[in-house]
Amino acid sequence: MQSNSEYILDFVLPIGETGPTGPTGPAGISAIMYTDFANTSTAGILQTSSPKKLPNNTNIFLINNNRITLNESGCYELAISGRLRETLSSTNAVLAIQIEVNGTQSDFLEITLQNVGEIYFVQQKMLSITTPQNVSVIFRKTSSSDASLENVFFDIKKFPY
Amino acid sequence: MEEHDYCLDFIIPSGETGPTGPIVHAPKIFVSYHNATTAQNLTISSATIFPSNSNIYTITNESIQFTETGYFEFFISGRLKETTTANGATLKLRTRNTSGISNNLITVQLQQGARETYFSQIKIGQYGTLQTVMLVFEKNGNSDASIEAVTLQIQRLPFPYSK
Repeated sequence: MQSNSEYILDFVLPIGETGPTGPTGPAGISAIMYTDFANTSTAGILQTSSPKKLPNNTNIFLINNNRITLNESGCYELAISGRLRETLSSTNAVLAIQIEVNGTQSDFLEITLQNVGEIYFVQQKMLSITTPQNVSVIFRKTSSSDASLENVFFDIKKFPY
Repeated sequence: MEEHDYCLDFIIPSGETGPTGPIVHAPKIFVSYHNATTAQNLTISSATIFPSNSNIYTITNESIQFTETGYFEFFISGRLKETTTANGATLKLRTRNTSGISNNLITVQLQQGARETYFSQIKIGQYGTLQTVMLVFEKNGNSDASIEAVTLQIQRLPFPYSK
């Protein structure tokens, strides 16, 4: 026969052991693509030379026929570097990064050589997109200009936000 | 009062998994160089590494050594100038591997006839072997060219090296 008794368990639960370490945080850069462009003195879309993506298998960037498609929405940093020079005339040669949205192209960033001479340039700009976009780099000048581009380097970083 | 033995048979669960760690930023080094009027390897005046406990970079008087392979982004800026003659001058960012093979990743030239140029350049290098990085200032003929305010930032990109 069991007696009816009341008992009070008077103790404090100890703190459980520390859980496993949380996962490593995301990398500051999700992916990057970079390319050199062939030196040129001819106006037109610049020709990529040995473009590379990191990681190699990323689908964030698609590179086709000198056009780079940003394939995911989010935040990107575009940076372009090189040398722009002109010796004979002063015709405002322009190097521009173009963004194509729904088939319409517009200049996203411009570098202008306004007087005869040369500039070593670096320009960076952030871009936030919600749909895939196409990016290309174009060189514009008048027919009388002897402007040329050398050592142009272009990289695009995708950030995890 | 009757005496009974009772056994509390349970396991205290461990705590929940900790939160995701912070965003991992690529280790970076920021280097300033002494001005120079003679052709030479530029010497380092100061260097700061972020995060400070990173051991990816080691520094000597005039060079930076990488202790890991991988992809590195270089950002260089400064001022090249010449006042009396126009013979031209060049700054080269040179990498050298452990076998002594060198490569000029970035070259900035002050053309003949130019007086000065403020320059900046970006480039990414991919390295399957350890590298030493130095800046080489060269002058042509009787040039009185000088170089000033040179800074170099190097950032290791967070991707493993692959051919």
